[in-house]
Amino acid sequence: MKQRGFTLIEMTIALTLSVLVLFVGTFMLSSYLRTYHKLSAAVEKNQVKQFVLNKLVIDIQFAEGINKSSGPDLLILDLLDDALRYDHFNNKIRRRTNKSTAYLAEPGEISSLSFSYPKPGLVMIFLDKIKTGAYCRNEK
Amino acid sequence: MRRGFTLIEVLVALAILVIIGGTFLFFFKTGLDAQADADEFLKALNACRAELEELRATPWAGLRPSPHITLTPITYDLYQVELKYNWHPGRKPIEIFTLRSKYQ
Repeated sequence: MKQRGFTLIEMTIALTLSVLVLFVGTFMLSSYLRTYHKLSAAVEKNQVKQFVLNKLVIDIQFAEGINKSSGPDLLILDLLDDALRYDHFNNKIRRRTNKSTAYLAEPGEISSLSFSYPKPGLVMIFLDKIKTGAYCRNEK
Repeated sequence: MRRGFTLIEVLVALAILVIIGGTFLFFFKTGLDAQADADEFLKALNACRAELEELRATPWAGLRPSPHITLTPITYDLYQVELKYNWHPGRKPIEIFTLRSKYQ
């Protein structure tokens, strides 16, 4: 009688192949997901950095002046009847006035913030690997 | 009775597998490249802002062109400022045009 169906060998090979294909598929899917999460986290971090930089630049541009006791780790901006202080505190960006404190980033989103003052009224901002600058419009 | 696969069949199957795998890899690479570009572009834009703010902080008499900035006099008290920043070879450079007046 002619044999019908599959032999054990055939079944084993077929199973091995399907397992292999599934394995490769799972691997591809998981690496896709990993890349996706990595990329969206990076994009979100960049958005936070850009937000903090824009806030800083606008605050500097429209401040009354840059306080002389500002340093590389602490920026003090004079306002009309207040002062604005920026620093990197507890792994966050801290923005303080005399009355209130706000944090502009979640811990770990920004790992360093420093300032330099190359010209009167000009503040260079170093935030992680990004460098930018802002000129205080009211500086005399 | 025919046994096994012909060479053509095996080749076709392999080619299909390679194309599928390659497409996946290509997608990954595109995504990662775009992210690297975005990082670089963010840095470049902020560097441009730094240069323009520095220009603004410079008094009129001290204005000099820099490697990225060209100054063209329009009138005796007005410059056209052209900033061109090559942030990535083979990419369109960032170009910003603005004016700088003697009185600000």
